[in-house]
Amino acid sequence: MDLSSLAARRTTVLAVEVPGWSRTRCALEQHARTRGWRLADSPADADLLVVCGRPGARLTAAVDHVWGQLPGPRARAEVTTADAVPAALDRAAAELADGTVQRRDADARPADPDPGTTATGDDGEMDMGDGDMDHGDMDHGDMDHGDMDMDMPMPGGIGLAGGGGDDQLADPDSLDLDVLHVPLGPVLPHWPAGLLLHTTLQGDLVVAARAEVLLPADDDSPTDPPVHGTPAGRWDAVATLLALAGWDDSAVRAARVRDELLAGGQPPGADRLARRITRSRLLRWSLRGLGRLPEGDAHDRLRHWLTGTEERRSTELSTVADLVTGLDLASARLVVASLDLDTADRVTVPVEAGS
Amino acid sequence: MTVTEVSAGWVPVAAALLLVVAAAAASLDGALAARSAGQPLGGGLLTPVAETARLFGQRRRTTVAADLPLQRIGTAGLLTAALLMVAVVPFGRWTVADLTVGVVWFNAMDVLVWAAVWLAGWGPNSAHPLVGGYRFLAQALSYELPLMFALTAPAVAAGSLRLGDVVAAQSGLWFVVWMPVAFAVFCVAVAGFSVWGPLGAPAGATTAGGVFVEAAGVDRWLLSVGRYALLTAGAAFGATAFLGGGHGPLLPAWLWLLVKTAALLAVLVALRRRLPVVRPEQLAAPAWLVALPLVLLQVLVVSVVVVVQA
Amino acid sequence: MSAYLSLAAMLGLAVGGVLLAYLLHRRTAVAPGALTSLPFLSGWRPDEHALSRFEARYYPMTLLFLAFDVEMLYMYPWATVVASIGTSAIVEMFVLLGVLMTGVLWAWREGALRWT
Repeated sequence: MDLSSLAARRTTVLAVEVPGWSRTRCALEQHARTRGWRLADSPADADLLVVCGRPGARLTAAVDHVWGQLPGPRARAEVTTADAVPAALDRAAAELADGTVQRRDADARPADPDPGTTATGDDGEMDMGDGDMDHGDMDHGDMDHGDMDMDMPMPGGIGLAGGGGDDQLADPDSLDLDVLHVPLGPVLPHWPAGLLLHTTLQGDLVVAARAEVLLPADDDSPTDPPVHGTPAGRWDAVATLLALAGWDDSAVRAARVRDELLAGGQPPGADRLARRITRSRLLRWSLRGLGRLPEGDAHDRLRHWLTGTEERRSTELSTVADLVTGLDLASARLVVASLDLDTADRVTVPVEAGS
Repeated sequence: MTVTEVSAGWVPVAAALLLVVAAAAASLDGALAARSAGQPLGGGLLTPVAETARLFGQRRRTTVAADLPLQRIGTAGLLTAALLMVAVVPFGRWTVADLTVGVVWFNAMDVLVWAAVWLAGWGPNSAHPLVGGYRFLAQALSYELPLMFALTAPAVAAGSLRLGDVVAAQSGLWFVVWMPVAFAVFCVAVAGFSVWGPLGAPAGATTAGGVFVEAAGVDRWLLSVGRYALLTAGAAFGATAFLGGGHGPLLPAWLWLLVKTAALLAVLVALRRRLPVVRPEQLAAPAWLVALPLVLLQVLVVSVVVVVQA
Repeated sequence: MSAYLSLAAMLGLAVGGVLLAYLLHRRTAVAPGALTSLPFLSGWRPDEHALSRFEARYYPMTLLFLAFDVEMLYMYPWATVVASIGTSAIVEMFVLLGVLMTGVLWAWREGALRWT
């Protein structure tokens, strides 16, 4: 057995879901699992980039940028229906295994990284940011770059971190601390499809946030029915939240229940798994009190998904931003997952981004 | 049982042994993961081999304006610390480094991991690893003190910081029997410095893989191997300091140590399947207000017993 | 002394092994050199370099830790002489530890163990 065929057993897939194509992403996860493949946490970890659905302009820009971050050997696929997944994975696997193609790809890659676009850039307007700094800080008030020499060439044309102006929390010890602008999504595992959350981080604390949803392409719509709002969709939400909570074992089992439901079967282990999850004290402890809404916190919502008693609710994007502000990055991720946002719902009626 | 020091020529053997046991742990983890995914166990057992093949075929990756020297130190640091830890652990009747301060050495090496993980997070100049690195420090501040006091319990009982003496003192009764709190705290701390299971937050999914985010190719391989090696070195030390080391009937001493290490390691690996991750900020209060007083009480009990016996 | 020689050999082996892994990787990887990339930010270009004055909000806990950590310097030599010195060694050490533990309780009440 040579190196590449051994390596193929652990092929790692970075999945990108376009709002509306959740069914395709579920099929991708299922087929990856049955091949013994793994889902990637980040592009550096990934061999395969699979886009589920037809992304719009800004989403495409983000996907293309991430494609440039895969170390290689790498392959890329775009699938729009669940049925097309196996063939697409076969093609991608063949491309990964083709040493000649991969070496040629590696040689052809530029020495300088793809400059990419900033998260705050508007749809269609590509700001290549070559050398000059674009902080795109329209939404964050005035920024304080007191100690930054604007004429000094910065590595990669990227500026130094500075103070956060109005967003920054008052520091009792008057330390001169920096804030970072960290966009979360759209290419982020265990994250709602197409959601882009602009966050301002002071340390790991979210001090300001604004949410928007990146749209799919205008000329196409998904043919598969949505997973959201079905029993399978609830298990999908469970799997996502558990993966973020670091309980991989139960997350994978929840994903298997979801896939059996999608295939029309009655998963035998579902009740037992639900009991195992609700009984975990450590999980309750780590989710309790997070993302409190009138009807309960993150753990309550998890329980409702498991018992099928949750009420359909539409979370405003501004609510998402409000809920994560003041939390640390990791808790914010758990809160967003606990909301089980249906971003596809907003596709037909674009929602004005929250404050 | 007396422990004799063998020549430095055996150092590569000790290192190879650590890596083999670490690979076995990765195999077990792969098999357990395959079982929960409903896949054949055989494929899962091959995980360390397949992952090594994949990562050695994969290109390395650096980020723009990365702090490369520090990142390299962090990446290599985990494995280095694990190898230096295991050097003082007696393998049955033999040890490659019979330090008079073996317990302190182990402690020093596990503090080295603080630097390594934080540097691996700081180096890439990337937001997610940076947060992951700082999360590790927060977590380490919570587990480290209970660990240090847990390590003194066997030392007090043996009246020595030499691991050979600690093993010899367990010829009648294993320390785990009358130091259960110290042993439990030690096991949690091993998970902590190995960034493993419930204490795996610094490399968790909430930060897209934390300190692993930007690592590809051999860099990611070194980080993963380092993590398993630390877990293995921790298990070997735990088997020595609490589970009687090479003591046991019938089998030779080295085999007993191997069996005990493997058993403890298997429990640590299985822990990851059973438990979700604890957020570091939630760990602080129980670690300082419950684990720390309890382990101090444990040391008190051990000291009193030692003085009464003397 | 020979123990430290073995430890030095182990350190050398670790560093050598890591270098060897890098050399081997250059031969087996799809391309020998590293790919230069922008950091992963969900598909976007970073606004600023991540290396910055990061606010570690748990720093009061680090001070608390230091107090205990310095104490550990006494703890190790103490561990080897408890049996020979006897009761006075226990009393003296645990009075000190009790004082430190009181400090922990005070710091906890002041909120040093909470930072979110």
